[in-house]
Formats: sequence, C-alpha cells, structure tokens
Amino acid sequence: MIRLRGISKVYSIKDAESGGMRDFHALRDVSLDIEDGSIYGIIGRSGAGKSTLIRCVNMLERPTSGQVFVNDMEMTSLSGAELRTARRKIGMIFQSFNLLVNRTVYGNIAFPLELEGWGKSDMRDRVREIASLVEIDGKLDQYPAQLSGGQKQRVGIARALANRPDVLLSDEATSALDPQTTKSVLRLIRDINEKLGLTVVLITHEMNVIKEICHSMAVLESGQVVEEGSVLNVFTRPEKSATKEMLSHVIHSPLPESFADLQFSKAPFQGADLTLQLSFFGTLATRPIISDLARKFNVDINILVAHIDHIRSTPFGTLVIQLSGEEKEAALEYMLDMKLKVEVIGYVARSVELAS
Amino acid sequence: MSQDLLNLLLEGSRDTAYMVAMSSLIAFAIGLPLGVVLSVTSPGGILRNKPVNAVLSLAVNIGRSAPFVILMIAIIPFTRWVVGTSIGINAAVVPLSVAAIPFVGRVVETSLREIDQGIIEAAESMGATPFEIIRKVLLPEGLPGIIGGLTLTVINLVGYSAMAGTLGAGGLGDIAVRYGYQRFMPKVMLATVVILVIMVQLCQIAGDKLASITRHDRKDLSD
Ligand SMILES: Nc1ncnc2c1ncn2[C@@H]1O[C@H](COP(=O)(O)OP(=O)(O)O)[C@@H](O)[C@H]1O
Ligand SMILES: [Mg+2]
Repeated sequence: MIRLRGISKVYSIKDAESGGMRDFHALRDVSLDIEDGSIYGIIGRSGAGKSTLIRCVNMLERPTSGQVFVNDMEMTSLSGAELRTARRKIGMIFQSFNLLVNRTVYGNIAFPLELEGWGKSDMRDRVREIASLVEIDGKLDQYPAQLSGGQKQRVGIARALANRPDVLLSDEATSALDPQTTKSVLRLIRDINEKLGLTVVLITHEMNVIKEICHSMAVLESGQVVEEGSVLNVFTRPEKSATKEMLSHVIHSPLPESFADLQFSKAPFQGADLTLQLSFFGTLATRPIISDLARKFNVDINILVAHIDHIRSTPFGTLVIQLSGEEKEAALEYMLDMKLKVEVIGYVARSVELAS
Repeated sequence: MSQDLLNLLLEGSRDTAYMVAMSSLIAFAIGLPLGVVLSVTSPGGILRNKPVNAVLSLAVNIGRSAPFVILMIAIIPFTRWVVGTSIGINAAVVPLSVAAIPFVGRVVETSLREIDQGIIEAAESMGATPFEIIRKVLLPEGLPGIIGGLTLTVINLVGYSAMAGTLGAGGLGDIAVRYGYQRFMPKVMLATVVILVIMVQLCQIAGDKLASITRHDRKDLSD
C-alpha cells in the first residue's frame, strides 16, 4: 500500500516580472491510496506536476509538506542509510531510460545488485533470470547505444526489478517510444505486475497508456488531483472537463460532427426522435441489446455511432442510437432497468442521416 | 651530427619525458579528486556545498590564470622546500605539477558535468551512496572525457617542460636554448623541435586510442 497524505511541493522560482523570487506550488495537498498489486496511473498535461509527484514517492524530491508511506514505512521521515535501504525496494524507470552508457546490458542490470553487495555467482544467476523475464537475454554483452528504444526500456525494467522491489515507479516510461513498442513495453509491465504481484505507479500524459494497463487512476491538474477512481469509472463517468478532454483522444466523440448544429430538446414533442447514448462494459457489451429492443417494443432503431474499445481487457462500448415509434419511452425504461448506462441526448425533430 | 650531440639529445629527451611523466602523475593524483570535489559540490551536484565549491573554484581559477613562467618563479621557495633545490629536473616537476593540477581539476569537472543528470538520479533511486555514485557512475561514465582531458594535460606539460628547461631545468628546452640559440646550432634547435613534435603526437595518438576503447556511447564502436 502506498499512501500519500497531503503532499505539497513548493518551489522558489524567479518571477519573470519583478525579477525577485516567488513561491510556485508544483503540488497542492495531494492525497492518494494505491492498493498493493495494482497498476495505478496518474495522468496530466505537461507541467501538471506528475514527475514531481512520483519522485516524492522515493524521495528523489522531498515534499514541502505532507507524508508518504510505502508499505507502512514513512518515507518522509527517512534519510541517509535508512532512505537508501528503503529505495532498494522501490524500482524506478524513466522516459529517457537513464542507463549507464559505459556498462553493458549485463552491467546495467547488475548495478543495483552490486550496491546490495551480491556475490558474483548469485548475481550472474539473477541477472540472467531477470533478463530472460524481460526478453533481453540475448543482448547481455551489448552496450545501450547498440539497442533500440524498446530494448533499452526493457533493460531499464530489468534493472529496476533486479533486487525484487515491491513497487515499480514509471515516469513516462513509454513516452519516447513508438506506438508499437509502447504496446509491447506496456504488455511487459502488465505481465510483471501479474507475475510478480508488485505495485506499479505510472505517470503518463497519454490516456491510451492508462486504458491499456491501469486498474485505477488519478487526474492531476495544476498540482491537484481533480479526479480519481477505477479506470472503468473514470472512463465511463468523467466529471471534470480536463478528464473529458483527455478522454476525447481515446474514446470516440459520442456524436458525429454533423450533429453539432442540431437542436436537442429535453422534452418530447410530436414527431420527434429520441437520441440516446449507451455505454456498456464487461459482459453487457456482448448482449444483443438492439435486437432485444426491436423484438420487445414497437420502435425503429437507427444506429448513429457504434464503437467498441477495451479498457485493459474489459470490452467497453459506446452506442448512439435514435429511437422512433410509439414505444420509445418504454424502451428507455427497459434499458434503464437493465442497468445500462444511458444518457439521453434529447429529442430532435427531423430524422437525421447517419453521419458518414 | 656528432655522437656527443646525439647523446645530448637522447639525454634531453629522457629528462623531458621524466619531467612530463612525473608531473602528469602528480597532477592526475591531485587533480582528479579535485575535479570530482568541484563537480559534486557544484549546485545540482550530489553533495552540493556552496562554500567548498566557491573556495576551490577560486583557487583553481587563480592557478589557471597565472602564466607558467611567473608561477614557476613565484613558487621557487616552495620548490626549494619540497626538493631542496630550485634547479634541475626534479625541481621542475614541482611547478609543472602545480600548474597542471588546476587544469586537470577543471578538465575532470567538465567531463563529469557532461554526464546525464538522469543517470545519476537513477543511481540515487537505486539507493547508491554518494561515494558509490562517484565510483560506479561518475568516474566510469566520465572516463572517456577524462582521458581526453588528461591527454591534453600531458601535451601541455610537454610544452611547459620545454619552457621550464630554458629556466635551468634541463631537458630538451634547455638543449634548444644552450646549443640551438646561444651557440647558434640550427640543426640542434630543429632536432629538439622535431622530438617535441613527435612526443606530442605520440601522446595524442595514445590518448585518442585509450579514449575510444573506453567509450561506448556510439553505435559503431562496439568493443
Ligand atoms: N526544481 C524545480 N524548480 C522549479 N520549478 C520546478 C522544478 N521542478 C519542477 N518544477 C515545475 O513544477 C511543475 C511541475 O513539473 P513536473 O512535475 O515535471 O511536471 P510534469 O511531469 O507533469 O510535466 C512545472 O511547472 C515545472 O516547471
Ligand atoms: Mg514529467
């Protein structure tokens, strides 16, 4: 369990106008609970304070106020040798990999073991073991400059995991990688999380990364947590505009552009069609909702948008439909009863064409 | 050229090589830790310490801005105190070392500053002590740069040693002045210059080779 309690970080920075120094709040009163064994994503725009926050977990950055607990150890109270010992159980990976240029892959993975004073043969076994876990065992004698970005990050991961930490911190670990490589590195992090059961805290500015592997997430904006919860909840019920905007890149807009000019009315009127947005996830996504409705009610159904996506491996769908006919309100009731997440977009006068 | 002159040149070369080698060793031995301390105490360093850094930095700057000839004369009392005399090749080693120490210090500091801050942070995140960071991160990662800087130091010392020679230290500089200049023997003058050029060239080649062996930050240099 990682607990952050009221973390604030204040930097003294030069004021552009007056030329004097002023306080800058990089983090404001951040509190988070991160469950053991989960993958926790923290997302925010550039400059939101993500790196500062994750660096507060292993005290690379000391919070100005607040407390950090990792496995009931109060990190904020540690210093010197105690802090270094605690850090050995917290692995960290970085956007720019930060591998030792003049050490081979083997030497890089062995580095934390050397710090812990491992013997030569134990060290060799452990390096081999962890290298094969991250599928870099064929490259042990090479230098980082000879590796691709994805391979470098695998070495970074191996190094971070070498002395069996409980926690892995990832500071934009995939941000320097192409989409294909990003996927494979994320899959690796996810496998490791499942195999070794270690807690992963990752920060990113990409919703796709969160969608791919995280269980829970927090949205950071201007140093504050503005939204927090399970990824499914935040994705399906985003509350803050910052969240919605970041989600718009990964979840297709609920309405086609050609709908933007239409006037939707909340109240029904003569000859109006009812436009609804349905979101569903898990097993519901596989149920034949549309044919169900058509069979049970006297309605015509026009599908405007249909989109199925996955959050981790859970199917997550968005459907925008238009109902016309006598029984549209009854059909709506039925869907609500089924615990489908239904959002009434409104009644609209003319029957609109399906957007291309 | 007579056998005597050849012997003279040989002896001069040996003396020059001795002065350069001794003063290089001493300068490395003191300049390397000095450079490390300058680097780790700088703002943003792993053991940042303003007063220490300011004092050392000032001393280094003073040492580096003094022209060698002046430094050599100015520290004669110190030289006497250390080796008992102010003339001869052993006496020359003292000012040569003193002149090279601040240079080595800066060169080492610069090489260490070029190491990516992220690598040092990664080591910190793994629980490395400052001493472990110096030994296992800073020095190995900065090694190619340090070797390049040390090569430059040795080459500078070849030049300085010739200058010291003109002030009674012996070696090739001494020969160039006594025979080439005072007795007007242009062949001897030329010979000393050629030998000095060869020495510099050899140092450069050896230094470059050593630097490239220790450097692994490029794709094409795989060994
Ligand atoms: N050492 C520092 N001194 C002053 N300001 C800093 C320092 N580190 C970070 N900041 C500022 O804090 C804010 C958050 O930085 P950071 O945590 O790196 O953001 P993110 O990782 O979300 O892009 C930024 O505005 C940045 O300029
Ligand atoms: Mg960042």
